[in-house]
Amino acid sequence: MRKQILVLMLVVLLLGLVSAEDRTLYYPTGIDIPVNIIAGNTFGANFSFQYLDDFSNPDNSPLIIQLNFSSVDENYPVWRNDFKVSGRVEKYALWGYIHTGTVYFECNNSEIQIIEHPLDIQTVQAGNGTFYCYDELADLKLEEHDKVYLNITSHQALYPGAYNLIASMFYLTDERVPFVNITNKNLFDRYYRENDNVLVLATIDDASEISEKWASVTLSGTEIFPVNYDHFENDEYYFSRNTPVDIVEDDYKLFVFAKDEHNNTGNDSVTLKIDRTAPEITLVSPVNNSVVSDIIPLKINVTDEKSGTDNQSVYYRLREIVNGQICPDIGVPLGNYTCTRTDWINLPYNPSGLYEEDVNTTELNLTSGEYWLDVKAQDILGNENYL
Amino acid sequence: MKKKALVVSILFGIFLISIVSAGLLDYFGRITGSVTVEGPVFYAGNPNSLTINEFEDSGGNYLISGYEEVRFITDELEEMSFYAPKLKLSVEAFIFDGTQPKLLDLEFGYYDKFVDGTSYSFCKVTINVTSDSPEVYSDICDGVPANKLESFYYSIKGRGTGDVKIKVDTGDQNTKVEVIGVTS
Repeated sequence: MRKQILVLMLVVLLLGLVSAEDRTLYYPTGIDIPVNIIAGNTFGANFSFQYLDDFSNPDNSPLIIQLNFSSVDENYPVWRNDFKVSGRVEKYALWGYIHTGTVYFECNNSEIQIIEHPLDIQTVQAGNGTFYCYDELADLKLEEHDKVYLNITSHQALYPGAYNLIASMFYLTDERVPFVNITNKNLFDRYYRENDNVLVLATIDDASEISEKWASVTLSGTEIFPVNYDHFENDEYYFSRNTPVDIVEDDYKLFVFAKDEHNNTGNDSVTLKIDRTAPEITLVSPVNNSVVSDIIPLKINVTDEKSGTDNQSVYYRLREIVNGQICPDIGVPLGNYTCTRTDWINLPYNPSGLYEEDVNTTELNLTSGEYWLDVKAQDILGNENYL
Repeated sequence: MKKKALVVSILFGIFLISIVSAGLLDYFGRITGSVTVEGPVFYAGNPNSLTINEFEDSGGNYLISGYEEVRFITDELEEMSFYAPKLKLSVEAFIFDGTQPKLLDLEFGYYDKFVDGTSYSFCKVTINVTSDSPEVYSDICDGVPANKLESFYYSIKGRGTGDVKIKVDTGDQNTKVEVIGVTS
């Protein structure tokens, strides 16, 4: 057990050291600040550094400056509002020779602060004399030389004495997951069946680079099939593929995932409903084995709970039974006998809820005899059933 | 056994540091500097104004006879408390008329409110004006702390009879109050 704890501590230790050493400022100067100032006056201070491309420094790294004022004499500590600070960053390229811009920033001495950067949000606690200064435009670019200028106003009631100023530079780690939004969710109000094309569109927003994006259909947490990334168009990522031929009817989860360069993964999902059940067909009229003359009052009830019945898909036909055998699909002949059958005839939908028609046997040229009634119907996906 | 415990303790310490440092804000580096802060200076000016650290070039002369007082007051300030200051009170003055006595009371104080506030004294000194040509007279006193103030004042008050007239000059930045430290 002790060995396990030691190993765990060593692993965490190594991880901590690596994460603490992945960005470096080069050639920092000390803070240039007046030796003496008078309480109540505003004075300037400045320092500089370089952010070099050393193959470990990332581009556009956030720069958050923590300023800490402390009194050398512990009897006279710094209080909140003893100083007010604002400042600017002068940015240079080419080892400091070409001025590329000025970014102004404010410094906040509030006790609880929320640093809101596109990369992430971090709540920090600032003690007396501690300021946090940043502006997202002040993010460090590779091979950049930065000069930071501070305007510091001291309070008239600041104790006379010696004070230390420490400027600590921090960066914000991106732990915010990419924001994924499936934009065509309305397309998934419908049901799908096998071999249907599934097209899913999504927007992905993140301050960092998106390193991976993929889509997947899962059931109870297990991937059933991936949905392939197709292309990017009009700020939307397109994923597409056909459902497998053997997909089982169920409600699946269709996820779109995105991973940024800092391994934060975000997703959005929609339910992919698979319907492979054909409509249920029941004979209402005439009763089975009943005898009718001339007109057959045909009434059929067709129901489909999921995707719904295709009202144009209900057909019937009549096939003669000769010597106990039903006239085959291909029609005559039937052994030594001939037999009669009708084509498939569309059975119209009646708003009352049934599919019905008074079948005129004369018009269909049916002679007296025994007939087999076939009925077929499809749901709107094409799942077909026979009576 | 002790050696093993020591190793475990060290590793555990570094382990804790590693956990603490693994936050969202990670560390680039640190730059330091230092500064010495001196107390503020309050300059008397014209008309009856008291400015902090900056002398406004509008000084003038004030004639004080008998027990008359000239009071210089700052603009309204953000409410603040103030430590017990060690003060150096200075005045540039000369005897304009009369002979004895030639004393001036110099008092530095504050108002708890700028409007309709009550005045309180940090401390007071008395100086003896001895010349009939302008000279700077100064003295030091230990003030008391202020819990709440919205403005400062500097009072110069005569302590003579009506025939004694002292002229106070505020034009050369010499009539002022300097905070030279904190009362121990």
